[in-house]
Amino acid sequence: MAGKNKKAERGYLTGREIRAIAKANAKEIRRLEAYKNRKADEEEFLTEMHDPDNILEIDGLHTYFYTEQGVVKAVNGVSYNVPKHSVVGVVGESGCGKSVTSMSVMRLIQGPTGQIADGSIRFQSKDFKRDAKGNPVKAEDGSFEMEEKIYDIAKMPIREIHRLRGKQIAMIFQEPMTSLNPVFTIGQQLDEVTLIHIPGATKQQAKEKSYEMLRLVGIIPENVYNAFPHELSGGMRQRVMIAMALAAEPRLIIADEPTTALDVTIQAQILELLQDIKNKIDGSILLITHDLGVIAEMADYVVVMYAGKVIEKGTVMEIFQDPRHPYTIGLQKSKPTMTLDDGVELYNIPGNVPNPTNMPNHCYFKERCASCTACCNGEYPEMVQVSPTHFVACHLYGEEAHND
Amino acid sequence: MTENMETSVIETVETPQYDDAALAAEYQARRQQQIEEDLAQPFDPDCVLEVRHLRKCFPLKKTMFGKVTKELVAVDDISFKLKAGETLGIVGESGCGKTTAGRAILKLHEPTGGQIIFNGQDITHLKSSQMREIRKQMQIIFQDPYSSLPPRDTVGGLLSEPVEVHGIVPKEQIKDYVLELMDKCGLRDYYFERYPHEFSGGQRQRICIARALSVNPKLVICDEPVSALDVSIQAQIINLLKQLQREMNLAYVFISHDLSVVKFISDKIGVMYLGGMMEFGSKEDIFTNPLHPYTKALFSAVPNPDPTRKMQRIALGGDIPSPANPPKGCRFHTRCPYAKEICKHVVPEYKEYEPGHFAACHLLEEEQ
Repeated sequence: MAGKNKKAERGYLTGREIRAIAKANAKEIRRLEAYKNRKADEEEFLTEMHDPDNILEIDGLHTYFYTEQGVVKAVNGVSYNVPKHSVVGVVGESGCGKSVTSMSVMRLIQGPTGQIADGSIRFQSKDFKRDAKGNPVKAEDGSFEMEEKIYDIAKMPIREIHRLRGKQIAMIFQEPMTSLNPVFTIGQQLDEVTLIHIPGATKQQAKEKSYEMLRLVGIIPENVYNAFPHELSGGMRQRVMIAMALAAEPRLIIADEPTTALDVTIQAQILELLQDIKNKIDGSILLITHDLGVIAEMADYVVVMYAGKVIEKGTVMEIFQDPRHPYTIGLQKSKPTMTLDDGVELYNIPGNVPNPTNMPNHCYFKERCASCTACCNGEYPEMVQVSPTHFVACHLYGEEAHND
Repeated sequence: MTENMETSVIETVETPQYDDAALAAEYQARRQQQIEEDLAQPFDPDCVLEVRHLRKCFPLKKTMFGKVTKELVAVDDISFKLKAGETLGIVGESGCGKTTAGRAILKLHEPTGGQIIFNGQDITHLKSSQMREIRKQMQIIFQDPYSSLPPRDTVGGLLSEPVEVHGIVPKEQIKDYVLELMDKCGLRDYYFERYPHEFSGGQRQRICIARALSVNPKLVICDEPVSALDVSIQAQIINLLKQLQREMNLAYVFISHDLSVVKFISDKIGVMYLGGMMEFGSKEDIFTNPLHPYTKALFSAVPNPDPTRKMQRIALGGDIPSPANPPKGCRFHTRCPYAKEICKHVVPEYKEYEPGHFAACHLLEEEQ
C-alpha cells in the first residue's frame, strides 16, 4: 500500500516497487491457477441455493486482475441474484465491472492475469443424469433422465466447466462479427451446438434444430443456413448469435451489451425479439448494458454498479421511480431524453471514476457526490435495505435506518 | 441478399405498370434543371454556411482508362442553411452518409457536385492553398478522442501548434492564450505539460474541443463527439459545447446517431437515410410533428428510460440496403410500413410542406 501512495505523489513506480508487485502477483497467481486447474470430486463444488426461486446467486464475488501496476479490483464484492423466469439488468459505466462479473459467471476471465479471488457463484443446473464416467444415463423408455444440481461455479475446476458453459448458461456478445467464426457457415456453427450438447444427436436432428432456432429469431432458415457470417448484416448476425445461444435450451442467457453495436431501428428489432423469446423459453436473462432506456424496457430487476461494487439494486420500478443512491439519481438526470424540456442545462456528475489500482477506503463515489456528509469519510457504506427488494449502499440511508 | 431474408411483408396492390427507365430519365432532367436554378440564386448574407445540392460519390469500378463505370452515392443532394450561433443536427443510421456530408462540407472530401458557401464565399472549387485561410474558420471534432490526438506531444504543445501556424496571437502571448483557452474548456492549467495518454476519454474530448476552438472558428463540425463517452461524461461535454456556443457565437453541425442528444443540442435537424435528406426542419417541427415515416419510426425506436411509459413502436423490418446498390424509386420503400406501388418506381420530390419544414415522401404529396 505504501508503494501505491508514493506512486500517487511521484506519478510513476520505481523499479523496486515494480519488482515487489510482480513477486506478490506471481505468488497469488500461482495459488489461484493451481486451484483452477486442480482435479476435484463433484461433491467439492456442489452447494445449496439460499433461495430456491433463484437460478443464479452471486455472493461476494471478487475478480482481480494482477497487473504490473498493482492489483485491479475489477469486481470487488458483488452480490446479486437472478430469479427464475425474469430479466435482470445490470447497468453501469464502462469499467465498472459489469462485464467482468458476467465473464466470471462463464469462467471466461483471461488468465493468468485475471483471477476469481473470492466469493461464490451458485447456479441451479438441470442436466442429464450422468454415470461415473460422465456418460448420460438412459431411462428404460429410451429418453434421458434429468436431474437438478446446484454448482458453485467459482469453485469448479476449469475442466469441469463445460457441463454448464454453452449448455446451461449461454452468452450473447456485443460484437457479433468477432464472435462468429468467419470460415464456417452459419449452419455448421449452429449445428455444432446441438451436436456437442445433446447426447446422441444426429446431423439431421441438429439441422432440424438449427432451422427451428433460426425461425424463432425471425430468419428464413433456407437463405441463411449455408451463408457465411460476412454475408449478413449486423442485425442478422446478432439474430444468429441469439439463435446459437438458444440452441442448447439454456436456463440462463447472459446478454452482454447485445444492441450496443447496432443502429436504433435494428436495436428495436432485437429488443423486441429478446422480449418475445423471454416468454417462449424456460429461463432467465441477465442483460448487461450501459443504456438506461434498454434497461427500462426490458428488465424486471435492476442492478446498478459503480467501480466494481453494486451500489443499488431493486425492481425496475423502484430504481426508476424512486432511485436512492446519488449516482443512480445523477445517471438518470444526466441522460438527455426525448421528453426533456429545452433550454435547461443538462445535469452532470462532476469528475471521473477513481483509479482502479488505488481505490480509496471511503465510499468510491464521495469525490463526485453532491450530497456527501461527514460520515462519508468513514468506511465503505454497507448495503441498506429500503424495501423488501430495494437495497442501496449509501451512508445517507444508513443514518435514516439508525434514527428510525 | 439481406433484404429478402427477413420475414417482413410489404403489401402490394395491382396498379398500372411504371416505365422505370423513362421515369428515371424524366426525374434526372427535372432535377438537373432545379439544381441549375438553385445554384444561380444569390448567396444568403445572414448565413455562416449554406449548402446547396451537395453530392459526393465514390468510384467503385473503373475501366482501364480511368472512366468510372459504377459509383457509390454517399451523399445525394442535400441542402441547408446555418446561421451563427445555431446548431444543425444531422441524424441517421450508420452508413447513411452523415459523416461524409460533414467531411465534404470541410472539403476533406472533394465534393462531386453542388455548392458550399461559407461566410458569403463559394468554397466548392477552391484550391487547397486557398483553403488554408478558410480552414482557420472551420474546424472539426472527431468521434474517437483516443485516436485523434498525437501521442507524442504535450497538451500545451498540441494546443499551441494551431495558434502558432495560423498566427492567431503574437508568439510571446501564445502560452497565456492557451491557458485561458484550457480554462474555458474545463482543463486545469497544470495539464499543460502532460501527455494525452494520461487522460480519460472525457478529458481527451475536452482537449480536442480546445484544439478545435484555438483558432477562433466560426463553424465547428462535431462528428459524433459524445458517442464514445459514458453517460455522465457525455452530459459534461454537451454542456461544455452549449456553453462555448453561447460565449463564442459558434455555428455547429452536430452529427450523431443518438436522437436524444441531437434533440437536446440542436436548433434545426436533418434526418438522413441512404445518402439522402428525408426530412429537414426546426427541432420543434421535427419532434412535435414529424412528417416522414422514417422519422416517425426512428423516434419510436428510441428506448425510453421510463418503465411506466411503453411507447407504441412503428416496427421497421429489414436492414438498411447497401448504398452501392440503392433501391429504385423512394430509397426508403423497402422498409417503409406504408409503402405503395408508386414508391417503388418514382423518386419523391423534396418539398417544403410547412414553412422551413422539408420532406420527401409520396404519402405527403397525396395528402396535399
